[in-house]
Amino acid sequence: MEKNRRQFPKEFKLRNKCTQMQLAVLFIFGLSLIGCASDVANRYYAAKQYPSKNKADVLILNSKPTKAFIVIADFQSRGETPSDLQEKAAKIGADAVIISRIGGLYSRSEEWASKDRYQGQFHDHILGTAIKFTEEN
Amino acid sequence: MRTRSIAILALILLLTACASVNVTKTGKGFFEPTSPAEVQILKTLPDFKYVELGTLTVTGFDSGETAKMHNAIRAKSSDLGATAVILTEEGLTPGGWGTYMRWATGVAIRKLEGQ
Repeated sequence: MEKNRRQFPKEFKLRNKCTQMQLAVLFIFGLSLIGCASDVANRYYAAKQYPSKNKADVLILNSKPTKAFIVIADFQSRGETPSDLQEKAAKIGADAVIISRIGGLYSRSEEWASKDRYQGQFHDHILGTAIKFTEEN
Repeated sequence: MRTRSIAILALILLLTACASVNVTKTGKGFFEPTSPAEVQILKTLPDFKYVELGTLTVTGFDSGETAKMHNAIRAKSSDLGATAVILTEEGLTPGGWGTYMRWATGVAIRKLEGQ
């Protein structure tokens, strides 16, 4: 009985250590899933460099704007967010960044070409097209 | 424990019920998405002028799901603004239990306006 009492704190500590290790592994795994960008590949096209702007001044668009524009850069990666691309666009002085999500999982039970239940949810790459408007207003 | 087993089973079912389309943009700029149903699947070079938009690699379809695979290619390439996809390579890989899985690679293109 006495022996068992002495062993209990050791077992408790061991179990505690295991839980901590499990948490650490889960944390690292979580970071690898959300925190890290991969396959980051950007291209800059403009002949000149523009002064950087505040991130909040860069528009995030999901479709082509009606105003005339020029494309100054393309961003492409896995694991980044529209906000990350907005920040990149701000650094190169873009007025807006057009976001697209491409590729990813496709349900084999789809029957119609126009249906894709996972569109935008389980995408493979995120794209950002950094643009400068060519006309005022 | 039971919840975890159900979650793992659901994840496995989701992954086995899905194919994967890897799309990489190679073109410049932005094009509005097109209608997936209108995207042509080609095995030869078209006779119209076009720009290349990106590359595609499709995996995870059964050997008999050729048409379904084409629809997946249509759906995923339309986000890039593709009007057609030229399939450059196709093949089968062993999927276990005597089955084969279909894969393909291709190039998403957009027909130049006025052509």
